[in-house]
Amino acid sequence: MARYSDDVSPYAGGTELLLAMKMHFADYQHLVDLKRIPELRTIIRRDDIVSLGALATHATIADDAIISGAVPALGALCSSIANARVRTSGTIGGNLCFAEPRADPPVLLAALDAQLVLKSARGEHHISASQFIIGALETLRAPDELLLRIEIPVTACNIRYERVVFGHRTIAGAAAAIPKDPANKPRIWVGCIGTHPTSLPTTERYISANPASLDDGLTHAIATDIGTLDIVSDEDASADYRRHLAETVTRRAITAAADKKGTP
Amino acid sequence: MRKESPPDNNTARADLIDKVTGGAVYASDIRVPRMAHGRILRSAVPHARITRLDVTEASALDGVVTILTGEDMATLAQIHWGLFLNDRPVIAIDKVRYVGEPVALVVAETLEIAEAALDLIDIDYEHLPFVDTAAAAIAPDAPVLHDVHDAIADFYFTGQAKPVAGTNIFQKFGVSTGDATAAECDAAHIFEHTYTFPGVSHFALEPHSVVAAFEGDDLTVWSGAQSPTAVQKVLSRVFGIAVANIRIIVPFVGGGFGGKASVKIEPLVVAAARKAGRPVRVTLTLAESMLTCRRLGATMTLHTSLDKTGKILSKRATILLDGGAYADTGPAVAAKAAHRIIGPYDIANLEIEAKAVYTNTVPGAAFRSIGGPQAVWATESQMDEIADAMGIDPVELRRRNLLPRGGEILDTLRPLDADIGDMIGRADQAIMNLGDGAAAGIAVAATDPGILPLGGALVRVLVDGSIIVMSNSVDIGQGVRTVLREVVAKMLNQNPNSIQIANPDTSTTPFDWGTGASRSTVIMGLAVEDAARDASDQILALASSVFDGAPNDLRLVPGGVAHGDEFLPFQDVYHRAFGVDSGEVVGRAMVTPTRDGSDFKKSPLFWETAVGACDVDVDQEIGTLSVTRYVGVADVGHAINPSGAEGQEEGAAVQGLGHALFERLDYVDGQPVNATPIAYRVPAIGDIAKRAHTVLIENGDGPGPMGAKGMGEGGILPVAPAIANALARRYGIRIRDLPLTPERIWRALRKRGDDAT
Repeated sequence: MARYSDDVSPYAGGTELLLAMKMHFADYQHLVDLKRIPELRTIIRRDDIVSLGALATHATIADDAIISGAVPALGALCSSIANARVRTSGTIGGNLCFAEPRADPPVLLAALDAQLVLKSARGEHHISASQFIIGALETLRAPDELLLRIEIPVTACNIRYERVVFGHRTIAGAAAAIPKDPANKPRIWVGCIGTHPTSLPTTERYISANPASLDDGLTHAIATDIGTLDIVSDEDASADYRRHLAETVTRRAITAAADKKGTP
Repeated sequence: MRKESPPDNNTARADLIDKVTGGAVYASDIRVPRMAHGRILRSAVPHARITRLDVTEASALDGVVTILTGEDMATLAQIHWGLFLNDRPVIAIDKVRYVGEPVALVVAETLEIAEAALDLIDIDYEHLPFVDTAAAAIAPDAPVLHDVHDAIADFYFTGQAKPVAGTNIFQKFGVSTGDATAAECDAAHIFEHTYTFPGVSHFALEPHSVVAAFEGDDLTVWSGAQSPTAVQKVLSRVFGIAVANIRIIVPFVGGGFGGKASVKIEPLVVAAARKAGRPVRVTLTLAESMLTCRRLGATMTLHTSLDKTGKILSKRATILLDGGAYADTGPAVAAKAAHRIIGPYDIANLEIEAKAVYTNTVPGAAFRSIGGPQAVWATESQMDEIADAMGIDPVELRRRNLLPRGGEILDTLRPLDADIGDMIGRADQAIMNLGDGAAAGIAVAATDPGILPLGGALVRVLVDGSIIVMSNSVDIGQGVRTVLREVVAKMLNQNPNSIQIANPDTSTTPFDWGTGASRSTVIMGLAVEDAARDASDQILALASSVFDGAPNDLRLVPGGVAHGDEFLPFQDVYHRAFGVDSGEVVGRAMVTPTRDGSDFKKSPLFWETAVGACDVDVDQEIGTLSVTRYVGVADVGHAINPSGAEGQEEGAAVQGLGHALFERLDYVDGQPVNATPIAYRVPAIGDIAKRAHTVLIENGDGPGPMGAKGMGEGGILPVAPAIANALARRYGIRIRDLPLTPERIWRALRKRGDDAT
């Protein structure tokens, strides 16, 4: 990776990369095939951290017992992403590193406060999933770095991901992680509506201050947050409609998470 | 004396095993010696003059065989071709008229080399003003796409287009009966509404694929074409080759829907093979096929007048069709839309005008019921709007206006051969049987298939009792081979498994007009039935000479001929008759407009009828609509292969669901923005109503074998208006533009809320 760093891409599931190359949106002289490194696929739990190998496919995650025990919301999402072919070959790491603005997992992983572990000849490097993606198809991964794994803290939270999907495309997605202990800070993230996932700070503060109240105040807080975002307008949804959808899925995610008292 | 073979009740598809094992051969599987590969450079601009096209660098690339450009067209016998108008150059000559138009075709040793060479071609354009909507194309100052309109008569369909000189209008077709204006003066109610139906993609999973090979003066073309003889005819004109020297072979086809009808990329690939001096294969990507043809979009305005009892007095309609950059079969689409917008109603006064116009977009083409879904969308949406405004139940309003069986939609057309009222009753019953009460929306349709009754077939009964049927009907997935096999099996009293249906091949097989317009079951069905009868007559004549006593009460039985308890295998009949254990009997037939015992002079040969009934559920916060129940009813005369017939109806309904909810080829500034399989959405299995049922009405009253009518297109017609009518009834919103996207539904729901407050 270091040797060809100006003209190389890691190649894992290929569901995005190969398509982009076929369509001439991307052109690399070198691909590094990661599929031969089985260590990158492992999913293990160490105490209160689930370590998810970057090459775990969506289908693997959907069926994994550790995931379904510790972070069922991620398993549920991975079981319904795209289509069976994509789920079988597409990887969670590829999904993050490609940073397709419509991707769902980055939104949920940001709400889960996951940490990404990257490695290069220069050493290991940890980045929060919430900071990793900085724009459409843009991340903080350096060209010579590989994403090794994703470390997800297992916390006492109710977690829910809600989205609106037209065909295979997510039009708006929102993740809510609401701690069972109201003293802890909730994490509310929205995505697939602009260039990259975003947190909703007003909404988070509102929930902290009003943990039992899912009323007009919450709706107002969500609208305040989402009102500040740049929202894409395209053939699937114009900006005002997508804004409405983002507000709707955010409220649905929070409501569903808040309803799940007592479940992990 | 051998035993008769046991009866065989196998009704599985004739192509089942080939397809499920991957053994079925498609055009893209064909490989011929010395074959090179072609890739197409396409225009990236909607309308421009080509000021420079430099292929020097690309030609120098190692492995490039040749590059075909507009400069090569001068040596053709006929440079521009078409089905109604000779308007399309084999490859762009000095002008491009839509994004996606072929401007150069690189032929190389490998696809990869051809692909790489595309990037080395230099092209400069002088941009011209463009029109990407039909409305813009008929504006007074619109740029005119084609300077001349070279209309040709009776070339493919019967008739001739009526273009308007100096404009983009390439077809004007009118229907006029009675006096609509006078009727409106007497009317209690007049309703005027405008409906739109966008251009949509065929989206056959197999893209267009052609292999062309010259051997001396002989040209062989393998193509996934629905109309091999039309391809043969156009190639003959363009390249100046006798029809007899052109052989078109059609292997299996992975979906046609009209997108592979008439002629598509064959002239281009043949021109490349001619220049290369080698066989050339061009297999498009699905995205390229989406830039090759599409359904014509339509804007339709209906003025309908009624008396106070809800009887329709008159209908005036204007239909404006977006025909894209080249006319293709668009003139026929316009004519059919004008017929199909009437509906199965008794309307004395009609004034209908359909116009099809050139725009700088993907050429329009035939698509499952040409002009039908557009016209029925308008008419059946408006029927419910009228019913709502007049306070009449929508089914009741239809019943007050439906033509009975035998009624005339137009006096120039064959009387209606189905009972639409009965079909509505069956749809009602079927949807009640699915639970949760009556339908929320229905729509009805009767369309006149544009069938040319001209097609032949051979049935060859071989010495071992196996049978080859030679027919140019193309199996585009609709299962025509299964139907033909069934017809021949019945006529010859043979086991279906002993019958092979050969690939269409123009060098060995009689002329057929083509596979489309729901015609093959009737026309090719009769042709193979007649050919089988001819074979039977010949075999029985031979047999009567070889059985002792020359009896004439012989009958065909599986594997041979029987007389009383006596059985002779075909082999023995031939052996005794011919003096050698060899030979065959060839039955032949050609169905023509004057076929004995048929009334084929009047159009249509039968009416393709449909009723759709449904219920819907909308997530009112998001706007997504799901069809919860769907029933389709079709009068098919007789279902020769019932599961295949149901599959056709249901496939058509699912395709109609895509038109209703998802599909639209979008243009922004002359650029197609979603013409890729990633961006374009067609229905998936999860979009289909979980509770659905198909009713096939079989009265044995069709003109085809066993009383069959053609079918397979009707099911697409009522889907969109039935859904829109259900949406209006359940949620109080009326949407007149397809598709019924979540955003449109959401906006309509919000507007309804605003209006209520």
